[in-house]
Amino acid sequence: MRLAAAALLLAAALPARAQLGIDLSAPPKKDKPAEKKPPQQGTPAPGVSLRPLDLGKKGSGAKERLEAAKRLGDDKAYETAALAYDQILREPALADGHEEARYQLVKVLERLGLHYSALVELDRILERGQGSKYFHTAMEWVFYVGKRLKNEQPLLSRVARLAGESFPPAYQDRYLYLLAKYQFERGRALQEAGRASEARSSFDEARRLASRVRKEAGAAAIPASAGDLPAAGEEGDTYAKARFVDGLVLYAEGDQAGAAESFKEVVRLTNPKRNRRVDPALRELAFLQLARIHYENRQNRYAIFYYDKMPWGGESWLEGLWEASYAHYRIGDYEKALGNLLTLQSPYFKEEYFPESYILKAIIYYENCRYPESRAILEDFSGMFEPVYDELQALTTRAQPATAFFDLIEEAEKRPDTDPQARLMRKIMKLAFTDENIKRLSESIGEIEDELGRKMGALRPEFRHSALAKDLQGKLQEERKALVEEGGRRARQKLEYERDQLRGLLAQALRIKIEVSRKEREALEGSLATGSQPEILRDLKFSTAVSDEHLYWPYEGEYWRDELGTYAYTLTKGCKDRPQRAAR
Amino acid sequence: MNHFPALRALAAVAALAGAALPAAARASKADAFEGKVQPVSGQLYQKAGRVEVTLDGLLSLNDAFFTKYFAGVQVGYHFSEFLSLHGQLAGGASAKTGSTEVCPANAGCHPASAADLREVPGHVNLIAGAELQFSPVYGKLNVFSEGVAHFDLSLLGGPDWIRYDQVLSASDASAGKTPSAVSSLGFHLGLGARIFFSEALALRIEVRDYVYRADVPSMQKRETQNQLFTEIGLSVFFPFRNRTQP
Repeated sequence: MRLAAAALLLAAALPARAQLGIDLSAPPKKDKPAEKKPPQQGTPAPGVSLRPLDLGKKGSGAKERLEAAKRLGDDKAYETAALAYDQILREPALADGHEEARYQLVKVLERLGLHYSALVELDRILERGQGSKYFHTAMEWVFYVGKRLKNEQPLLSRVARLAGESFPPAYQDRYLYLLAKYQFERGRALQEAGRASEARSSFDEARRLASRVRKEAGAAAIPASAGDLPAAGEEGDTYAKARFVDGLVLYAEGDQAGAAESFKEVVRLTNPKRNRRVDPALRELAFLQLARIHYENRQNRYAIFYYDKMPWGGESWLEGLWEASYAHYRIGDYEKALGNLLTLQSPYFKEEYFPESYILKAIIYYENCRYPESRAILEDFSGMFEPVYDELQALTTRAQPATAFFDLIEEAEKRPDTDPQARLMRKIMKLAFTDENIKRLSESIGEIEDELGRKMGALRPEFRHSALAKDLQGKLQEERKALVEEGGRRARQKLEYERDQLRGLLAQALRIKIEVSRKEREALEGSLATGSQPEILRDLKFSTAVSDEHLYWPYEGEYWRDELGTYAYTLTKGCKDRPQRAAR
Repeated sequence: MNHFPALRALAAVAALAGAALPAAARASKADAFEGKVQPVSGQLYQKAGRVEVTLDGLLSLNDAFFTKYFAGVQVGYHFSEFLSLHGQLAGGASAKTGSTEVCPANAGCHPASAADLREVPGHVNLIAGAELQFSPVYGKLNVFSEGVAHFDLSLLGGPDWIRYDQVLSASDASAGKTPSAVSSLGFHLGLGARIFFSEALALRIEVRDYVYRADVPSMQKRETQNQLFTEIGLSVFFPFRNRTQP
């Protein structure tokens, strides 16, 4: 039986290592902030101008060429401007303008919506370190571009690389938070590698960095109409996020009481009535972690209290509902446990992967002496998940490169829904995506592919066939390849883990089946001895009466979206020796 | 159990129906799963791919001169949960309403005679028509917290062939001429509801406005007639069980 609490750290947004570039050697500790002007802000144009290509007069000085390119940018001829800057960069005679040309190229690429290409050029500036006069501005642009990506992993990997550098004040809190998160990840990796003392120092560093995030970071509400303009801050409450990281570190260090206090603080900070930035996702996660800590400590009613606080339909709601079933089971509230499982196994979530829910359901029926039902559930479970196990076994034992796992994901997406094999594969791939890291890697790969395909494809042929485009495409392909390899490796690990888990569950199902058979045999022997049918079941009292605030809707096999999570399954029969329940 | 309102329905195709429906019968409140999952899954009562045969009774509502008592039959095929095509045949008797009084200027009021009634339109005998039904709403109703009634709501309309007694001129009527049966092409629009009892049986309640044109000699013109009917019927679906969804 999987412990819900064991998933606590897994769910805590672990980033991909390769993408993060987690360095397990001792990190530099310099993080002094430096005053610097914020980057020039602007709104990328929705479309691009089709002004004729005029790359500036060759042979002019760097200053004139830069001015000419800037004018193109001002006129929103971004593609032409990008090519003009690239041409400057390719002329050794204009070396004194190269730094500015590269910086301006970043801005133009960003305005074209080529975020990863802009990051490629930003990396080139940052590689030069403090030697570049655009170094600090480039750091600010990393944040700006990072905000426009689907997830923060590309940003996190860069922040980790720049860990020793001083950061612009406007981004200081976010920088500290990201670095704290990075140190937490590093600590986890070291912990897993058995390097406990190094892990501890990494955790300490994470807490130190998190504690330096100012309470004001996230205090002011961002106006809803923030639009496209880059804000110096960020969405969400950075301070609350830092407290969350603090809670994770404390939990990883074994201080569950301290962790619970940190998560409670996150809950208080993210209360919508507080005049702070709204961060419902973080609030939901804090409730989930609090519930898990209480569950782990067998404080089931507290756990249920926090599970119930998770917003209906939120990102982790289904996971919470599943875990709450165990808490309800532990306190003997079988009706609610089975009700939650009804939601989980509804057609809405048929592609979600909760194999253990069948085992729990079978156990509940078994404990209520409902042996035929328990057996039927286990048979359903075996019928459904033995092919999944076989497929997982075949997948993970097949000699194939890690990248093949990503091809499988794509294949599964493309095959028609009617194909049972495709449905099975989709289920397995969905399982892989329950790992946040894989999901984020896949998102990043998708973004790069979109940039290489759709975004660049929409630009003018002059740009698409230019040396600049080829250079950027080459870099993006490299990045994509690295991400695919990392994603494939992680997918393989995840599938191997789930294969072993599923093997365990199948074995558990078999044990319960044997136990069910034993009970049935005992009953049969009893009937042979007494000459009459033994009575092991009796009718349970129940009532459909509900409080004035509720309405009773009987479940008749039809699922209504807004009923999800509210089901309570009425057990009408139970063990004869089960204590009489009061009608409720 | 939950704490949602007693009447809940889904507006599967909202644009058209939304305007015509009361707020309570609209889709349940916007939720976190909206746009991600279907409002209803494993729908208990399904119509798609099934034939519906209805035996019904019709009663006219607003005719000042004749109350019509019709019996009818409808046969329809449901292309989907939302769209169906039906054919209908209904006929029966018409009786004088209680409000048919004639009040001449120089005499007291008296009930209209048979001759008087031959001068007025509305003596419909038979209606045959086709109908397209659009059923955007499927809902359920909590009945005293004890049971659930599933229903759907429809907009309906289609062309009709309407047979009625010819309207006579005053002279022909007073001469005792018997009106002949004439017919017109018209159309109807209406609202309908089904309350499902089982997968095979449903109660149908409809209100239709039949519109046709008839010659009215006393008015010296061809007049547009509106005949409002209410209808109640019992539907049987074939096959008796829901079609298996792919």
